[in-house]
Amino acid sequence: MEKQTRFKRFDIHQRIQHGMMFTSFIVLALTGLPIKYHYTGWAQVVVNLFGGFDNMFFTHLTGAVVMLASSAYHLAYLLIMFLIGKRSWATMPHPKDIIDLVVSMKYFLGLSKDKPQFDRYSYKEKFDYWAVFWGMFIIGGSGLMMWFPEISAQYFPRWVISSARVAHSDEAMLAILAIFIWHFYNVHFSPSFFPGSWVWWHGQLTREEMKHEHPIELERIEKQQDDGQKAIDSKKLNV
Amino acid sequence: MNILLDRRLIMTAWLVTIILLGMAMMSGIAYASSMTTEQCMSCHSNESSPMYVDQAKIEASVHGAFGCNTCHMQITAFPHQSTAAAAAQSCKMCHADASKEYAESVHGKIFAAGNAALGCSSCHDSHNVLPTSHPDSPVNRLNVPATCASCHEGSVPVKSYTDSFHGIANKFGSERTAQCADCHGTHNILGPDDQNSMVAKANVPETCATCHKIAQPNFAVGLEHFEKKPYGEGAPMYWTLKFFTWLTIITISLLIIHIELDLYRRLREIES
Repeated sequence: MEKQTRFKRFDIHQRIQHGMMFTSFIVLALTGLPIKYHYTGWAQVVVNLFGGFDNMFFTHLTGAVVMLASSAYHLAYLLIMFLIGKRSWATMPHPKDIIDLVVSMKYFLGLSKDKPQFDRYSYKEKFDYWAVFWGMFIIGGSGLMMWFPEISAQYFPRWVISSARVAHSDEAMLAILAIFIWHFYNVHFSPSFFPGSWVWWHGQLTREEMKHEHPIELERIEKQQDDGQKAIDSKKLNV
Repeated sequence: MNILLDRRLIMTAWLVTIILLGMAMMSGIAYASSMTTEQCMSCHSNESSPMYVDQAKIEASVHGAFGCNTCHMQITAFPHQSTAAAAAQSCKMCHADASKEYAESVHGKIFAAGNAALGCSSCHDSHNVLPTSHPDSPVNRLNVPATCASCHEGSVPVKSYTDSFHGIANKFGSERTAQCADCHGTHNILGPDDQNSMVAKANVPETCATCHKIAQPNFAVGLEHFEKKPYGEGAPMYWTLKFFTWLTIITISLLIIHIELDLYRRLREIES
């Protein structure tokens, strides 16, 4: 098989952040759902698997620390990238995302033969990215409020803390459904990627994948490379 | 003749006195021991009888070394009346402090007013009183919620506790989490309107701080036991629940529609 040109999509930091996020996510879902659905038979089974509630809950808090750390890691990463001048606004919502969504719908319904042409991040990926921000704010914030009631009660009356508890597991259900239905379809179950894309592991996309998923980004990269090559060539000529 | 008669008379008098004294002494001994455990069990060991007493349970209890008459002091003869209520009064013979606290509590006052269903044995059981550390004791940490619920079933506090983090952890066997008695007290339970109550508004921060270290005044702002209703104290939690429920339903529905449309397009591509 001919070795394809590979394009670096995610650097090692981004991949570690994703790894911390999804491992802790699975642990937190596994140790949190039995608390939300405490009245079911399987909840008791999961508690028993952990050797008791205290162990299961300790595991939940450990997962929480890892997830909060991955978020802190990401924010620090963004800050450092900004400071060293490698900042990117590619994840920011853009009017083109709305247009892309409309183009997608037309394409899905057979009203148009044109597929949406995505840049570095499609509207689906931007949705996932910002959903994590929202989720971390709601679930991480409410989790910390419950973990340290002495501190949260210094600033909030208890109905805020009680509401935070409601929000914690309800927003978690939204996150769990979004991940295991939507995100898993997009990166695992979709016929384009089944049984799964490996970009989260090696951080690379082939030229074929780039052409299919991020054609505008590919075009830009190749134009830059061409320009760079031309610049080198012209330098060579000048020498 | 007279002398002879006198001597006989005196002898008879002595004999009668001795017999009477002996009888008096015998009856005295019998009274002091009332009835022995063996005597009690001669009737109460019949398993098919409604007054059956499982002697093995008593022997395994904290009171295993005592005989029946330690608590059932009133029973001196057979047949006798039911003494369950009277036996409950016997607890204070040894447990004076607990009994005094209890007498001043809401439960104790209702008991004194004639409700025998609120005696010591309502929570501690009667014959098989076990140490609180015993997993079968009704006042073991893990069994307290069920013991309280045996009367308070269906009340807002019991329902909200069952759904609370404390209640869930307790149900799953956590010894660290708060159960009813940690906040409400044990023998000394008072209503929230009593200023000496552990759950009186003014005392709530201190009560929470027995576990949660800092007695924040905010611990008393809002209710521990609330109902998720669209109005009243439970309203913020109710509307939070509604908000996230609908956010989830709408978001996930849209995402699933997106997936299905994608699959629909792929199907058409394959068919064409």
